[in-house]
Amino acid sequence: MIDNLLLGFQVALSWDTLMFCFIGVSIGMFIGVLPGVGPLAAISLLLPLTYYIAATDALIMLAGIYYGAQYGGSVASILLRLPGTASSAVVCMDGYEMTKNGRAGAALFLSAVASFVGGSIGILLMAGFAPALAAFALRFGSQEYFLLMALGLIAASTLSEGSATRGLAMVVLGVLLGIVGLDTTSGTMRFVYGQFELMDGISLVASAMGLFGLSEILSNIGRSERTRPMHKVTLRSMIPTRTEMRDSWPAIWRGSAIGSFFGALPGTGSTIASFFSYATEKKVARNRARIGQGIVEGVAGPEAANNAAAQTAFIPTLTLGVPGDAVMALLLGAMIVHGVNPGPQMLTNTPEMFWGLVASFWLGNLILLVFNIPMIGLWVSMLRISYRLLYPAILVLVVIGTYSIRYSVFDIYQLLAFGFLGYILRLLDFPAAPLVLGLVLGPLMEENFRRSLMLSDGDFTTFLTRPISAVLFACIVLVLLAQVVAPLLRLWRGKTHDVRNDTHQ
Amino acid sequence: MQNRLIAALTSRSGLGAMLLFAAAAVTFSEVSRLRLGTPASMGPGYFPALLGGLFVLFGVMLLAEGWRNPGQRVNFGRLRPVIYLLGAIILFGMLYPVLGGGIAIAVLVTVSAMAEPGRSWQEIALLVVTVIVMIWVIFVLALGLQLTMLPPWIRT
Repeated sequence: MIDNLLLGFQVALSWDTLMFCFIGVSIGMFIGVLPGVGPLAAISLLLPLTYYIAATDALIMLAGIYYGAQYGGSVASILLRLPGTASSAVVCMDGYEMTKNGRAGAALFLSAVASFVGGSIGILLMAGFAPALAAFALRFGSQEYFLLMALGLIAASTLSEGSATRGLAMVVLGVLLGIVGLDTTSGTMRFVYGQFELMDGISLVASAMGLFGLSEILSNIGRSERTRPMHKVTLRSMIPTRTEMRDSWPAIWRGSAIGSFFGALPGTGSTIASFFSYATEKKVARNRARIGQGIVEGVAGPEAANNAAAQTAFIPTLTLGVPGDAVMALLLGAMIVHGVNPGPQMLTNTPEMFWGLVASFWLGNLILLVFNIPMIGLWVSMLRISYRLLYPAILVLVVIGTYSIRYSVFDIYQLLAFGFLGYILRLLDFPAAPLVLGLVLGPLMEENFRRSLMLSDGDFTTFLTRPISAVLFACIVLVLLAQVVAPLLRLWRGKTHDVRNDTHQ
Repeated sequence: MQNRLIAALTSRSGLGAMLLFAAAAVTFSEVSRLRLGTPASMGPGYFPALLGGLFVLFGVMLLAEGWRNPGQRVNFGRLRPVIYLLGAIILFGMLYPVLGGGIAIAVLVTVSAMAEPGRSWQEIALLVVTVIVMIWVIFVLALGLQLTMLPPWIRT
């Protein structure tokens, strides 16, 4: 492993790569700080730009946006009680209380340290477990891949918030959109309707930008103006007291463990990890009696958790080729565009890429920690940028970015169609993230499904009779059963509570 | 009974079910012209047909949800941003091939900025100029993309 890490640092420390890592984490930090622009939109926005650079650099930059945003997200949460990203929403509670108590500086410092520790632990786990997992995955056949993707999609769409039926329906819609175009096995066009631009499928960039970029702008317009009280944060005020330090450490370790676990599971990810960590601190923190009134554990724990999760989320994506959430699906899509086949072979075929990513993640975390603290003032001043001025520029970037992939006006209309679809889905309360997951995995799923049944000569029990696939199948059944049982349990237990608290809005 | 049925169909879940049934209809109409094949040697229509079946299944489940909560209505929110933003993109798509990037971007920025009421023309003009310069620097200068900023009939 030492050899591998050395190889990784060799890649990651080369001048160009380091620069892309720096650009990535800076953009991530920036959009993380800004409320209303999330990592999904930013990554889809930059996806077309990475078509012109080397695959490793592209992934390093896009990944940097993702984990950089986890760092930045806490800044707005702490200073303004506005979550910069969903995964730092929970930091609003104690973070903003610390600001009101005049400890904004310490909260920012501790959240940066917690993020760094959490991220580093996540990276170590990734370096430790990924090779073993990949070696195991080499034994997978088509049956296992099909079930693994099905499990990932089902878990991602049912475990996250909202109704499971809606999530699953969006997965199916995504898979269907994913197989639009030329069916390579039979040479038949499907769902093309004479539009030759659709031959090589729906554009991932146009769909992601339409569903996330455009819908984000649509839902944020008009809500941008509000008075923003600004607290001056000096470097001196950032030094935490000895008690604050002492109380933070256990929370950081707990948060890192929780985050690493939830990040690696499909469908949970950094938002759930940070909420879970906060719930844990509520029960076990030394100052638990005062939680919600500005205790350091309520900041340090969730921040460590969401950063650890942001790193371990790469484990299934890189070793199995099965992304756990929409951000990972976009990164997977970017890899496929660059001709890299994510999966267990990646570690053996292109070790410099995998280990380069691991090393650059750690360097990126270090950059975020070191640059963050002196630059807090800059990030704070960036919170003053009005969304009113920002969104027309973002819209132009979205449109030009989509067009620039293959200089096609047709792609702009694809973007438009997906923007409109995103709006309709939001009206009807359908989540868009499972759709993108399905879109990326759709063609791979069909291919593996076909091959499995071809190998078994049409016998569907092939998904049950192989030992690994039987376990995967059991997992799928469990996840689906949990969906049926959980509401029944709630109904049975909740006679006293109002069960219909799921009426949204 | 009849009122409840109408309420269920037009509830948020009911309309969601309609969307899924529409998707199923599109899927099956396409599948009908594709070869299905057998499980051992699937034709291009086999997998989409399964997806179509799932659309129907989830549609029925949503319909049942709508029957249980007919009171959840669709909240259309503000239509102004939707119309302006999507309209701005359509205009860009139509204008860009004819008039080039500069004018098309100016229209895109102006129309999308109007999605939020109460802007002065100075603010919009400043936005237009800034965005055009930004796009030119990023895409043309830094990345060297083939983006025609001037109207294509003007030869420099």
